[in-house]
Amino acid sequence: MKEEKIIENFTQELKRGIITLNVLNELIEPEYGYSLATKLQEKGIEIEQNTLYPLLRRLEKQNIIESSWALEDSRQRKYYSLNEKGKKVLEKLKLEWKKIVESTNYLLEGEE
Amino acid sequence: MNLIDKYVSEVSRRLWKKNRKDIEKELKSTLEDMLEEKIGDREATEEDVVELLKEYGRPKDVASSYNTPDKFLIGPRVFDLYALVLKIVLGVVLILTLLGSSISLVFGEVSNIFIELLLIVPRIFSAAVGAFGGVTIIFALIEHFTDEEIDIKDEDWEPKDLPEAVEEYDRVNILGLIAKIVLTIFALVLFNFYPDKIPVFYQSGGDWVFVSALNMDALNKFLPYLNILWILSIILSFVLLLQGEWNLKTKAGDILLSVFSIIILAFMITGPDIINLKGLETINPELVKDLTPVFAILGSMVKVFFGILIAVILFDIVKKSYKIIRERV
Repeated sequence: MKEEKIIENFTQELKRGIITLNVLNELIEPEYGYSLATKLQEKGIEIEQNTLYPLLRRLEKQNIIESSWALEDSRQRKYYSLNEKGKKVLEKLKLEWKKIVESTNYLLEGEE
Repeated sequence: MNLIDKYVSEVSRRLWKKNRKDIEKELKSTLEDMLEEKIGDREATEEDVVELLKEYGRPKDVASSYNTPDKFLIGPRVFDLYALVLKIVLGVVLILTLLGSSISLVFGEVSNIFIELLLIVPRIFSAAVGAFGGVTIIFALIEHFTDEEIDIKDEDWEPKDLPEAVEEYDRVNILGLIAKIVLTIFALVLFNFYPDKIPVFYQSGGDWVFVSALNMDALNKFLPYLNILWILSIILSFVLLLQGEWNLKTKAGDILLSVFSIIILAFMITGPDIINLKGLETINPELVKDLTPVFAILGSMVKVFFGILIAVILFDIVKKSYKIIRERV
């Protein structure tokens, strides 16, 4: 396989790994699906609609986010946000992320 | 019809009923947002929508992103029909097994009655399991062979080719209609050409014998009306298959046929017993004496069954009429 393709694949893997963390972080404030996707894209997190919506539903099923329908501009929108449990989960996850970053940087720097 | 609505409809019919409406709403809202962003201040053209939908993906793929797992033994498209057919078949099997058991019960020698009673449950269970397995296999095959997109190549799907989205309760249930047509034709043939072949089995000194169950005079009184009902029903089913969706005329026709069937059933309840003993008198008059109470019970059971059927159809008529009225308001 061409080098660029390999790098692309691995990078995708990395990015996939942080999607949930980023989604949860963005949901501290209520967002609807489309606005969430746009915000994430602005911050450099690429995620397809086809991945985001099912993810949101899974998170809701796991009871860490909650949803409600709101009517604005004559458009019905489904808003998602973290609930209490979700906020706790996010905090713990952020800690885990810090640990991962530290240990990875340490490993990487060690090799140089 | 709105292209986005067609698309959303095509996605949602592949989803499980539980989430269907919610996902439909959300998907439509998202697509409208995406469209707005795409066109900015100008008006949306059909080309814009087609481009957007193509970009979003094939309905089948979008639906599978919501469904895990992705391959089903019996999937969302077919499941509702499966559940309905299963309920009907199990109900029928239950009734038939009980009938069969009661006949051999009344017939058996005294010392066997308790064993017969005990045997009823395993008999019902084994018949139910068999029926359940048969229906499930049939529907698993239906699910497997009617995956309509087997022929569509990846890049070739065109949003414009989407079928008209129809309100769920106006969609015609094709498989259900075909099943109905087949069963009605079967009933027509059976009761008109082979009515004497409908048997009741009983045990006579160790041998199983059967005798025609139906009273020909009673049957002939009702048969013409039943025939008319069945033929009209088949015609309605064909019309529905052709049109693909219900409209006010077909809905009204459906309700009229239901009313007609209630009237016929009412007459059958108040009329002579359908089940008879005449066939036996020639064979074994002794048997007739023993069988008379059994057949009386059977006759009543059949009438009770008709009564229940009337109630069910009546309830169905009320439900359908209510839906029609609600639509119009």
